[in-house]
Amino acid sequence: MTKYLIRRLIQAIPVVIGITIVTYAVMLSAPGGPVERFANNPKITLAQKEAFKKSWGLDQPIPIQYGRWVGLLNPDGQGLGQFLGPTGWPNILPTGISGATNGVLHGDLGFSLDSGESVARRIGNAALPTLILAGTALLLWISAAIVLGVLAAVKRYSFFDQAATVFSYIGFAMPTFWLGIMLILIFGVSLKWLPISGMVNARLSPAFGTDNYWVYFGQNPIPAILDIAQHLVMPVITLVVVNIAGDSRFVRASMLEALSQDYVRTARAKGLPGRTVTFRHALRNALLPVVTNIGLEIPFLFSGALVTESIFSWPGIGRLTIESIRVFDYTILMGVFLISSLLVVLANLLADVLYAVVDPRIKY
Amino acid sequence: MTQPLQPPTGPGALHDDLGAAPAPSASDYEVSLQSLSQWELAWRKFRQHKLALIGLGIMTVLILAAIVGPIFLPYAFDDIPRVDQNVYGGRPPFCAVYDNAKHVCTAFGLVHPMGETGGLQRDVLTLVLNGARVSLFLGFTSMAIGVIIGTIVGAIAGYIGGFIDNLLMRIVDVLLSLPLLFVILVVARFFQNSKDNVWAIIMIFGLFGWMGVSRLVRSLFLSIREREFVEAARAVGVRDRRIIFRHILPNALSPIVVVASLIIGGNIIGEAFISFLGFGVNPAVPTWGNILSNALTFILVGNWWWPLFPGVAIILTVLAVNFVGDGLRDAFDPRSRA
Amino acid sequence: MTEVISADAPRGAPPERDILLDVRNLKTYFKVLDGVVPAVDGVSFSLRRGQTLGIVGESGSGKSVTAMTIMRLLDIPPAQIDPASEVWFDGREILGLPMDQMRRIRGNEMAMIFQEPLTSLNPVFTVGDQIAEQVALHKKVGKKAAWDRAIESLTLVGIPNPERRVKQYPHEMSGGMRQRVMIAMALSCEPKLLIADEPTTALDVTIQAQILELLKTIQQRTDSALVLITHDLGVVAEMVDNVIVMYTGEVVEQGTVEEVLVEPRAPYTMGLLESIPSVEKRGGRLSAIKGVVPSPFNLPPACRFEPRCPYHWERCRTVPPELYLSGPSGRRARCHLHTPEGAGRWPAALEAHRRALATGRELPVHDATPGDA
Repeated sequence: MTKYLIRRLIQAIPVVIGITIVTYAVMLSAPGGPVERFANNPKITLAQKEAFKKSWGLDQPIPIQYGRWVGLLNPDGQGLGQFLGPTGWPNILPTGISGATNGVLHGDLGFSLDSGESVARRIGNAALPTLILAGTALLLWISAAIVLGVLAAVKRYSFFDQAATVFSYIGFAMPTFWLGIMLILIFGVSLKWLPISGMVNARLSPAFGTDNYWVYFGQNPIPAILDIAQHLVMPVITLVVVNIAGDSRFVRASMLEALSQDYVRTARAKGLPGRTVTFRHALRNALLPVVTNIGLEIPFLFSGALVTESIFSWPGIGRLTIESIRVFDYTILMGVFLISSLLVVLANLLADVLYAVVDPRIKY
Repeated sequence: MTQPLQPPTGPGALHDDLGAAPAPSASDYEVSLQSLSQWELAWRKFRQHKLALIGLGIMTVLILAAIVGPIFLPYAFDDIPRVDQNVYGGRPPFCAVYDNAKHVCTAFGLVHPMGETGGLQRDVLTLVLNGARVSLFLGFTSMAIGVIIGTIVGAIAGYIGGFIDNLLMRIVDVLLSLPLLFVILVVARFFQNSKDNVWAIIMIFGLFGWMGVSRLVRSLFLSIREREFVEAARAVGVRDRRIIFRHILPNALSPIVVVASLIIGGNIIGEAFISFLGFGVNPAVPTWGNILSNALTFILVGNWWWPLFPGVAIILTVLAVNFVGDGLRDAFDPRSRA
Repeated sequence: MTEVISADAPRGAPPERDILLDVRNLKTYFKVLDGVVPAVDGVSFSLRRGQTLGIVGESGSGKSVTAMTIMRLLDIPPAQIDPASEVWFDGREILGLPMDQMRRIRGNEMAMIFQEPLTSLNPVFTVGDQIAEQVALHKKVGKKAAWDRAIESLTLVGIPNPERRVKQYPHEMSGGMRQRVMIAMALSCEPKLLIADEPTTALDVTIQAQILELLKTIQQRTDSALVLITHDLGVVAEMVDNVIVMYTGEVVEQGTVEEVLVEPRAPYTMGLLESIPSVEKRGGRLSAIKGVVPSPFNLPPACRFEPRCPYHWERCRTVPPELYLSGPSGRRARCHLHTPEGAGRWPAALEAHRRALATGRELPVHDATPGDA
């Protein structure tokens, strides 16, 4: 298992390198180049401008720029000495050994071209709201998809099954953002049951994530949580409905496959009650491919978040991304891009590992 | 999810019920006869697939309406707003007179079957039909570009193999592990300010939509190139290009068609999404996404008919192409050949 | 002892005590899109306690469906059992039993071994889990006792090192070993009746013999009755007391194994015997039964074997044959050769069969059916 993991991680290296190259290409493709972007921005300090130019080597040939951005090259070095960090160890090694602090490898994602804040900080602040939204949605939609899919398979061709089929066809064809709009119209504008945007009620509490907010949260935890929960309902429904459609079909197909297997007949021949046969013998097998599928779907939460967060003004990574695209804030985009690509690679790996954990037949 | 990669039945799948098929010329002999019967059979089975026929029907109606509709409608999508009444609030479907203060329709009539928008007072039906022109054109064209690129890349990788195959497939790996929606948004943003950027958007969806096709085509080529009739062709000295286009490709076509039909739906939703965010087709050009985007600015007024109908149009279109895709898959699946 | 057919108890009345399984006029249909398939069409037989019975037939003859009907494992619909059919097991009619009562019989008093040991065990549970689950369910014992019983069963079927094997997953075992596990599972609750459906078909030849030997010793040791379903007459010869031969859902011949194999009465059985390769026939032509099994939607009007039968005459096309008494001690065959009308033809048929067995038969000259092998 460990050996397999190591091999997979090594195999992922070329893909990750490819991702960094594409990410850097995004940066270079900025109209007028990044320098133009922040040259006249009053929010960026002079020191920041100098540090940025130097550490990213914007006056240097492109390979050197890239090397500095990744953290392979030391911006203070000359010639081959660029490969060495301040302590004399290769610059690429962790900060503790090489003393280097520049580049993605050392956690330096730069600062926002728009606001001058650290990119890592902006992304970090947006991560919690996204985790709350995506986590809630993921949990709900997976459990709902499993329940729906299993019921549809067990009662195959019943009214329920056919209704589920129609529902999933429509769910497949429905644009996420349109569902969001209609929900806002119905529950927000017409019925006025739910807040239509944001994460917290601005009249009651400070903006989410600020220091003041956490003070408020500590004083009134229950109203604060209820407030977030209220704001969470519609974005979560939007994400859940669209994603249930595909996943419940997947579970259904997997369950039907399991129910038709010989071991299910054996289980019945043993005299086990129907419920045990379905939920112990068949379901356990049916969930094997589902587990892998969930692992592969985690990255798609990101695109789901893009859509949902922008409709409901949810202060997460998705909205941060859209806003950054709008103002060409390339450093933020590169950070988001890099992190979400790495997430895809990791999720693929996780899916494989999960599969080995749940299926005794698979040994790496 | 995974659709079977089974290529259609090999040569010799002749059916005596075909009647008078034209005799092939000697040089065409290897494939043309067989592929003819294969498509005939597929159509026969497709016709029995109810949902697929419904999908095809919806598609036809939509395309016809998109082409013909705007010619006959009394409004244009860029009419100058009239200032007779309801300058702000818009009118629900079939409403002749709308009381804006009380939010009730005081007189119904045969006007605006999908309602009238707030603000610029556009007829929603006119918008939806004009939007259909752009959205459908965009969906189909970008699919075609993606499928052509994917087929070429996949065919090269699968037929040549070796280092080239490895390189191409690693590139596909990298592209597929990018958050594509994100990349598309960023690239689309570059073209946002150009006035007529429909072709730019089409190219973006085409250029980022070929990876799945190339993987499929590659696997098809890998399996088909080992089949006897290809080896036979190679043994008698048929040139590579001819083998690819005359022997392998016709046998790989049906799974490609199925995947292509699914890409159309994805691209239409994708376009609507990036236009909705404001990074897509120029807002002055009516597309379903642009209409929805504008509707959002009036959402607090409660113009439910404004976002409803373009959304329904998207759902119907995607449903229709997916149904057709399902029908094609069943029609081409040799295992369901009853 | 040799009597196979039902003891002719009146309908709805239990058979005599000694008879463990009494199947009476069993009819199972499948409703499919194109119509109704009579998979089992009026099968009757009975089995005494501790006795063994072979059911022989080609695939599609209804032998497996018969077993599945008795176990009530078929999904209804698409399957449908004729309401007039009766299956008496250990003094109870079980086709009409409520499902929860039937479940108490299944796996407990009546157990089944399937053809595919590779797929019949659940891949995600250890074999111990799967056996213990059954024991715990039926014998109402604790986890520990059930687990001990699982080890005991594995020992009984000759699995070496059972304490270790019991914790293994099916994929860690060979095919033969898995079939032993299936047998151990079937035996774990000491059933009165064991139904083995082609238990060796999926195994290597050398393993086949071992598994059959095991089934036989276990059957004798535990004194349970055994129904062995197979297409292989050779297997039947070594394993069972009585045989019924099935064709298109009907019984075409029944008798003791010696009688049926040495002196078959139905032309279909004769054909099956002639198609077994043997040293004596070397050099001669190996005969196969000509033609193919008819489609269940398009059965011949009278005798269903008539189009493939070398001895047929007009009567076979007009009068459906019954299961006629064709010898002493209850031998029966579904063939007009055993009626007064056909008696004259019987000696010649028997002679032809013997010659074919000795030399190999030239394919009989008949109106050849298309698709002739």
